[in-house]
Amino acid sequence: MARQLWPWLLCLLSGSCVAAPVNAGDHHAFWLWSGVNAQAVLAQASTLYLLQGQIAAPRNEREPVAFIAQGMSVTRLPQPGVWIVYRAHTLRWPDSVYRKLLGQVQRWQAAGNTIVGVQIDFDARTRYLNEYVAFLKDLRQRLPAYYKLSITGLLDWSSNASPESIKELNGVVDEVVVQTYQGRQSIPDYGAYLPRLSRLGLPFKIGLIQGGEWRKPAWLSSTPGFLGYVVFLQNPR
Amino acid sequence: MRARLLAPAAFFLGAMVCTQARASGDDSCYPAWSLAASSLDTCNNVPFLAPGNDSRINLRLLLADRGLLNMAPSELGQDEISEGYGPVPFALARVQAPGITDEQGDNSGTAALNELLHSLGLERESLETAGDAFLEGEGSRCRSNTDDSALSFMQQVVNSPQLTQPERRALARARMHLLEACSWAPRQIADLLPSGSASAEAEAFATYLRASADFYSGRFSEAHTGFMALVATPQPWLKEVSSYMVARVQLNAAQEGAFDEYGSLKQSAGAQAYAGAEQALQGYLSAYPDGSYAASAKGLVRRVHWLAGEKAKLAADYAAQLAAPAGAQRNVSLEALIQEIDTKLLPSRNQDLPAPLLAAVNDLMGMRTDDSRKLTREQLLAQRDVLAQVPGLFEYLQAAFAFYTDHDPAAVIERLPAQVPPQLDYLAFSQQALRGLALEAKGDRGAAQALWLQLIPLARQPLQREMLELALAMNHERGGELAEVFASESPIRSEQVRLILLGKVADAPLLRQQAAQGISEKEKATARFALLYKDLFRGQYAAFLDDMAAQPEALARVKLDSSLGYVYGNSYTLSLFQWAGEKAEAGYACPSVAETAAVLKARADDPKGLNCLGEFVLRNGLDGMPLDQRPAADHLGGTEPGFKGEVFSRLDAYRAVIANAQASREDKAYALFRAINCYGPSGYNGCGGEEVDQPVRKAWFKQLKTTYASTRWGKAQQYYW
Repeated sequence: MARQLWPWLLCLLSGSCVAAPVNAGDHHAFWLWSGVNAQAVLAQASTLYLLQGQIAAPRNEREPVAFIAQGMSVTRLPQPGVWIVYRAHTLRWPDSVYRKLLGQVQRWQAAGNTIVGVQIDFDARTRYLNEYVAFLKDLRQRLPAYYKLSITGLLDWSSNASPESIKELNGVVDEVVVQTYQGRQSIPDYGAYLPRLSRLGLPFKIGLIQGGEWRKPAWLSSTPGFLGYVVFLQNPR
Repeated sequence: MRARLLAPAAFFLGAMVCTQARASGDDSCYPAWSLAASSLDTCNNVPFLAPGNDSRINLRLLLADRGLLNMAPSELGQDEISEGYGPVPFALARVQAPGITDEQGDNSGTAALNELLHSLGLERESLETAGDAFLEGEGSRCRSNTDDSALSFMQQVVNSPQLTQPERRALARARMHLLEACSWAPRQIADLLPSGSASAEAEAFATYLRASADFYSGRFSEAHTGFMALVATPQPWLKEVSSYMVARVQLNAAQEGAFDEYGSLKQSAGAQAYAGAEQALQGYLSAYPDGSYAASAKGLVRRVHWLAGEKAKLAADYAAQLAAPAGAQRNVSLEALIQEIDTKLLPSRNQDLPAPLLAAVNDLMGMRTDDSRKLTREQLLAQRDVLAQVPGLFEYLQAAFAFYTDHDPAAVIERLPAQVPPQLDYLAFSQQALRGLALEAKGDRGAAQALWLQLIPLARQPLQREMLELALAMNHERGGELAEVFASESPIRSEQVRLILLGKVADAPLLRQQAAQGISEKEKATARFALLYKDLFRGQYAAFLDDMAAQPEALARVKLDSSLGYVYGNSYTLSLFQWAGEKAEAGYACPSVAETAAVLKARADDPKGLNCLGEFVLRNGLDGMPLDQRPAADHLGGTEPGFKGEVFSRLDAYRAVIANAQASREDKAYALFRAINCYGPSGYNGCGGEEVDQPVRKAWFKQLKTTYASTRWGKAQQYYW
């Protein structure tokens, strides 16, 4: 009979229909981006996604790809698990970028942190997705096996991306953190995309933005592959 | 011979490198087509001094006027065009290189180093160095451990007559080992250094290497002792470098514990904690004002001021840097200095900045609508003497204050020069641009238009002309004289500006005209697309059929994406309108668009016609078409659309069919099915039109499952939302 329970009814029964501002205090995994100041809520964090650099596309072909540091210097963090995040504006990485990236991750490890893995944050518009898949396969080969690989994903992957591309990510990335926000706000119709998320067939987390909007669909908790939330911290206005 | 720096210490040591804090996965920019924004939008800058600009843009404009840099925007890239950008407004990235160029040694010394090693009979095992393992801008004292600094050492070793050849080889080998890491146990170093009856000079070089290893390893006390032992040594290079390194060691020791666990500077420990380091740096600088490490030492003095929270001194440091001539030696490039000012100086929002450029940039931040530390009139007036060092700047900021804070355009006009100068640097351009905006705000559209037209031939600096085209286009648009934009003598050539106006505001006659006379194939195709689209979806079926008949073959393949307002993803060609009702995926067959239009022309509420127009939208992904969306009133294209008529929406159409007593059983069942699915599976309406409450959707579902249960759609539908 469960199939006869329409989603709206589930939503009413579970009491989670009302969109509420995202309260970081309800969560335990956070992105800490450059330019965002530390907050008290970090004390309860079990996992930190820490931005450490961006791989910048050159403005013209004569210039090299730049690998620019972002965020805090290497230090011993109190969180039990740390992901090191890199923002990629291009996927054409010279060897030096891989070398420096791995070197930096190892410096974080050597400073006494438990590094869970590396997260790549690439603005992978669906039209670039094929290239991205190939890039990630190669990166997985280059990373030591004890580092996991995470990527951020966009909501519209669930509707616009070719299923073959997404399928190929299985076994390559350990998780996709799907963002429900754009800039500083939740995407107005984020809810429209959510049902398709589970069909990606990949382990996923939901990326929220502090102070943004979130209405948890009732089906989410029981969705295979759902691993929880990551909250993007913002400076108070 | 070039003197290579041993240790061009980055200012960044141990510091946060902050750039824009933008949300993960979304540092893409999108354009906002307006000129008078008063809150920060780093994605949308204008080429005049404005509060909405990123501070780095305002600083660049002022530096360009001083001849210190060129505003050199990169060509609009394919991605930017896909995002909807034209030339102005522009994102920060168009004028700012992504990397921090030449902030450190560029290892141009590698070849010379290898040659010297070769002359000593040594070969390198690896070309990798510890100092090169870091990212651009990453903070670490080890960054100076590079080929370039090894080269300076090696040159001294090779050229010191007192050293024996074995001593030279041992010292060289030790230095090369140091290149491989950032940290060594004391014992590791001792084993490498020349031992036994070494000459006094060899001892001195060995002491230097030991102290360097201690420094990189974080044993600052030992390092200090080591370098201090060399400050009176007769070897001139060792003497100078040690004097510099003593200061650097002291600074590194003093800043231990200065940062919290997340790398932020703790409440400042006060100037006292850094007094020794500053004294040592000043000592080096007075002994070696033009020394090899003078630029680096000045950078470190800046760092001391930042660490110690000495805001006035820090501001004075930047002021001196900006006042230096273009060729002056700096420890960081001008590009890096702009970044540094943005992260280290401007956030403190100091109101007593001693340089006019810095004060002006800071003041403009204080005019942002949402700024938490708004600039007051008193604060601005108190800066008169500083700002007046740049003629016209004080008056400009007063005018900007009147415009953005007081919203008093008349006062703006009073404060700005009424005469347009023959040369427009960015300040003069800002004066005139703001005057034009004030005339617009005051409602004096004619005078504003005259000003824009007067300025266009004078615009010589990058981005000025493009901004004026936008201003003039908005002026025409707001005056209801859109045809002027497209007149043959119109100076408005910017493709994106023209296409936005065609898509959003143009009426049918103008679209027909530009479909024939547009200045490019893209413009012609965009005009024709907008014409056919609006004919069809605003109920002008007869006009649609006439206009279809005039469709020229040549434009059929022009790809239209951002020109229709799409950002990434969707694109169409004019062949869209040749859709012949193919597939009938849901089992509801439709004829061609033209046939549907003909049916609706005869009877505007024809159920089959409405369902099929909906089918055309559904099958081609036209829900939420940007051509139907009106930009904000103060944006380009934000005025009343010239093309009248109610916009078609699928939901409204299905509801009309559901309510139509004459509709056939099949048409009605299909309309119910589609209307229910407008809300599926998310509960959000994806079909446009007026929202429908959930009880109504429930009733539709019930109706479909009972009255029309035997239809294929009655059978297929299992849910409603």
